Amino acid sequence: MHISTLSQSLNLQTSINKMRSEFTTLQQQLSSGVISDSYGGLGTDKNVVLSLQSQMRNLGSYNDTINLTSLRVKSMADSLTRVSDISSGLRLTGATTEFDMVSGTQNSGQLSAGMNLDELVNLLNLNVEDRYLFAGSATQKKPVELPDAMLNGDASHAGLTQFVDERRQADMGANGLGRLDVTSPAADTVTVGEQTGIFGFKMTGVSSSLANATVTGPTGTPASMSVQFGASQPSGGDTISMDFDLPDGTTTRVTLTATTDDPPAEGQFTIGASAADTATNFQAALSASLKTEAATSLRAASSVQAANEFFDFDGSHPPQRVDGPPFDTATGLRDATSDDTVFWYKGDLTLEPGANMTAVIDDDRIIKYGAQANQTSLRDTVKAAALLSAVTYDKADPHAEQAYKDLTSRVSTITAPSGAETVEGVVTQLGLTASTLKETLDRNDQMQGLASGVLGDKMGIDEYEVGAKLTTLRTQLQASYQVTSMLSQMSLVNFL
Amino acid sequence: MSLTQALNAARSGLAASQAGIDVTSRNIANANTVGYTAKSIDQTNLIVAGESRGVTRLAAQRHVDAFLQQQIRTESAATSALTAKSDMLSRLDRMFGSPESETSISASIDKLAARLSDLITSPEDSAARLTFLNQAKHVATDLNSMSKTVQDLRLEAEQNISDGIAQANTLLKKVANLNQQISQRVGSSLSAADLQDQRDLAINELSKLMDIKVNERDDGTVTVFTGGGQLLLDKTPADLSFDQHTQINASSVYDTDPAKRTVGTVSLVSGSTRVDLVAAGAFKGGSIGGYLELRDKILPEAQNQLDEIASQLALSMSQEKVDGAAATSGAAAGFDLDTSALQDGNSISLTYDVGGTSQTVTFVWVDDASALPLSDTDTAQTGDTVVGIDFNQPMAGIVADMQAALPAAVQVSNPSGNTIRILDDGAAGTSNINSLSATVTPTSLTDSGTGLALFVDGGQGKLFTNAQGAVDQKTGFAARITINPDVVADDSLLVTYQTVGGTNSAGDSSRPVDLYNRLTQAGRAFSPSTGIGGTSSPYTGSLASFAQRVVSYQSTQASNAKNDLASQEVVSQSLQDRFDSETGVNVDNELSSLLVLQNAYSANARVMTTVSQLFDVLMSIGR
Repeated sequence: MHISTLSQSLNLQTSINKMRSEFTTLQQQLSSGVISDSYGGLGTDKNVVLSLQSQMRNLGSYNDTINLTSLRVKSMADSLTRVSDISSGLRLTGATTEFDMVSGTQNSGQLSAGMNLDELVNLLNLNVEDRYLFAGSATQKKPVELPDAMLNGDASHAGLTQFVDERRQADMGANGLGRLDVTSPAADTVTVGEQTGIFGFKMTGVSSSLANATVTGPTGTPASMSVQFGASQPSGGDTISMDFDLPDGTTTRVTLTATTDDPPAEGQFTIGASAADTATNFQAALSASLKTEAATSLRAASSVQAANEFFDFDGSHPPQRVDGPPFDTATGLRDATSDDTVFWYKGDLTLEPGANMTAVIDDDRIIKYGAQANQTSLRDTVKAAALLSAVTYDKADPHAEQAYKDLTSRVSTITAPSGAETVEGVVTQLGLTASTLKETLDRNDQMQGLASGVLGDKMGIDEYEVGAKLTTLRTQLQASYQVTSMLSQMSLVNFL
Repeated sequence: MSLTQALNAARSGLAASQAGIDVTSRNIANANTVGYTAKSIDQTNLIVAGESRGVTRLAAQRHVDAFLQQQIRTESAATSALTAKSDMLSRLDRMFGSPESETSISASIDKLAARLSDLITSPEDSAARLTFLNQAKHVATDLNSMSKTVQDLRLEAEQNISDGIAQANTLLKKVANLNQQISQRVGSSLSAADLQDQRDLAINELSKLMDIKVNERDDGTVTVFTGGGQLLLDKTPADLSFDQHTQINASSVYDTDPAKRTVGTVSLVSGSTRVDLVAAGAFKGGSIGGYLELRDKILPEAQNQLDEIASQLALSMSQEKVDGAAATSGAAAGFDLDTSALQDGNSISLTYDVGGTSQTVTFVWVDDASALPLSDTDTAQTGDTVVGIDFNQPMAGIVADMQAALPAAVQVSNPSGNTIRILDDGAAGTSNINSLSATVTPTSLTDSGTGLALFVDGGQGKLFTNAQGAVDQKTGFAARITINPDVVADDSLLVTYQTVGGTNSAGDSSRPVDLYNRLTQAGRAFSPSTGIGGTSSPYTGSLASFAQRVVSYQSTQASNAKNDLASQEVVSQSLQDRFDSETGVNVDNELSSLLVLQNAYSANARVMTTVSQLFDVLMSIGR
């Protein structure tokens, strides 16, 4: 076949050029370690590479989130574990401490509750990487007011102590009978009447075994009841019991026993010579008993209720204050405002506590976690500590010890695990979140390892393969050069 | 027989040998000249009055396979078209990022989601906010610069077309000139082979620019047609003109209607008539054809993909759905919808059934009446009928327009204000209104849902609502997309979605979570105008996966063009090789024929010497 000299040399040129460029590509691959510097060069693998790279990026971001979230969850759980310890300690305060007025107005249990309060506030104001973890979404606000401000307020803002005091005045009433009036409308009749309003004792029932006495009520609003002694006298040992609701929802019972002793012991009244005499004695004894009851259980219940009104608020229900002054004749509550009252919790009130923080930890997986200082169990712990340290007693008050006992038993109830939500429960919840995070992180790591392995296979070169190709190509090139040089010698010109 | 006759015969032999050596020497001299074909001289017995009087030579000739030549030209047109495509597409591919550096648009969007997830973890953290904003800005500038690159490539294509046309005109003139000379030489029986070489070279050059067909006439001249059959050269060349545009952006399009055309086109000018060769489909190959395809099809498609990403990005973040309120009138039940929040480009979606057949109608607010009527493909959603409504008219007109698109059993009315009420036919019970909702773009960044118009159209903060018009707002949006200046000025807007009735807390992640869900939401439908997904089943997925598809689509196109070019080059090369082999000069051949000629010359010279000696002998006899 006829082959032109030009096409011969052109052919050689083209094939050598091709080999050279292939050589360069292989060299590039070897030095960069990757098959191609553009997606196009990856061929059909590019879709796998694109989606795996995207997965790697996402996993990286999930892992960052998980690490940060884990830190927060762990810090919160640590803090709340201590809160839980304090909560159980407070529950036992009444049982373990003597009523010994070490500071003049407070006993040692109260003083240690004060220290607990300091610690609680500190724990709940936990700040990790410049964010308050127990403030809900209001992460830039210190969620819990400092103990001194919380208890004592300032000149224009009422603290818990003032709440307790105002409520005490409203519940005890001017006469100290718990807003009850004990009167004698007729010589043989004693009437007990509630005052208008929500404060003080609220009669729920009466049971009587007094012979020859007519007991009516309690009826009407405000409720009243009366005892009318008959012509014949009750016998000694006959009793009459009155049941009352206390402001914090607890109940108490006042019982009087008829006796022939004169003077009667506490809780007794002397049977007189006539119905009028007996009524007079009954009235005096009842007043005394009610006064005692008011100074002990009512006072304790009043301060607990004051604490409830101070602590239990949310976005739509502000703290409640006694509508006064005057407080001892007040009939209702009013909404506190931030202008006149210390709000102990200043964090977010809008979102559901325990689910106020969010984190994206996996594809389509956004977890909610967190705990908020005003969550029921945490709030009650603060409430118990604050209440114990807010109340003061007068050494001279004969009822002080009983009042303290009544208070500590109620505080135990406040901090007792009530089924709905406990501090331990919150800690457990956080622990579960932490383990979810850990599992997800492990899985993500595994996926990442897998993906990066495949990516390496698809994007990277096999050095041995490229090396072998290079060697083959080098041999080919050398042969081509050899042929070229031989061909250049082979011309008829050289033989003529 | 006479000595003189022998002398004459030897002389003719010498002349023939000389002519042969002349051709051989030219062949050898041009052995390495591209386009030179080996010439040969045929010689015949010179017969006068029935007897040989020596040898005579004919004009130098070349041997060219015209069919092979046409094939080469067709293939070379295809090769140069593919070269143009492969070159620009590989640049486009690089623009979409490299696998190692993770600079692709899909990586940018993934990172945007990652920064958003950081923001969810720490909404109050100003560093997290700034980093997110920075990434958002990065996505926007990525889209801007990619869009600019695409349009720059289009402008470059436009310039290349212009250059190509100028070159084609020069070549056509050259061919016409050579044609003339050839016909003259052929007329006087002279060799035109070298001129034909020149002409073929020019035609080959022309075939690289555009797809042509060449017809050879008896007089050695050629006529040239475009691949589509338009005459480019007969006796005189046609004049090709190209009205080059120096500014090209996403809204610059080719249209057969000169009033709507905003890019250049090639016209064939012949006298006073102009023919739009692009409209006539004259350019199927050649670098001009390649650049036209790039300018009008491939690059606009890439722009569409970028615009789709930009528009979905902006819409996904900003749009809010407003559900209609149930309404009744007598026995007829349906929904009321307040349209006062709607803007140009926002839509109302209505689902009803009549006689048990469910229908979905999407009413789109259209300000620019020239965009009406809309087609069903104007929204990526399938299964719906799209109706454009001019909202710039009294409510009665809007109601009438809407009613016109609905059956009588579905009643549209305007109970008050801007409210639209759509009711079924009540007691007759043949129709039911299933749902009525509006998709709106709130103008305020707070107190209108947890979405946020993070991306806007241009630096002035104009909202992107996907308004339809003579030029849709989406067209070229990738070049204009920018991060909302209000959000840049106040990054707390990334978290604060509510100010009325108490501002939400700085640590409230509601807005970031919503934005994250919107960004990563998997069920978005993407417009089939991007070349990804079909009209009946558009591509459905998340924004990030669509961006991945775009990168993969572009790199596939680039690698396909590269592979096509490689195989096309093999075809072209092998044809050219065959042609060169057959028509080129083989120096060895020439040298051996030189030997033959040399011998012939010597032999003829010897004859002359002998005749001369014989004449000398003859003369000496007479002395």
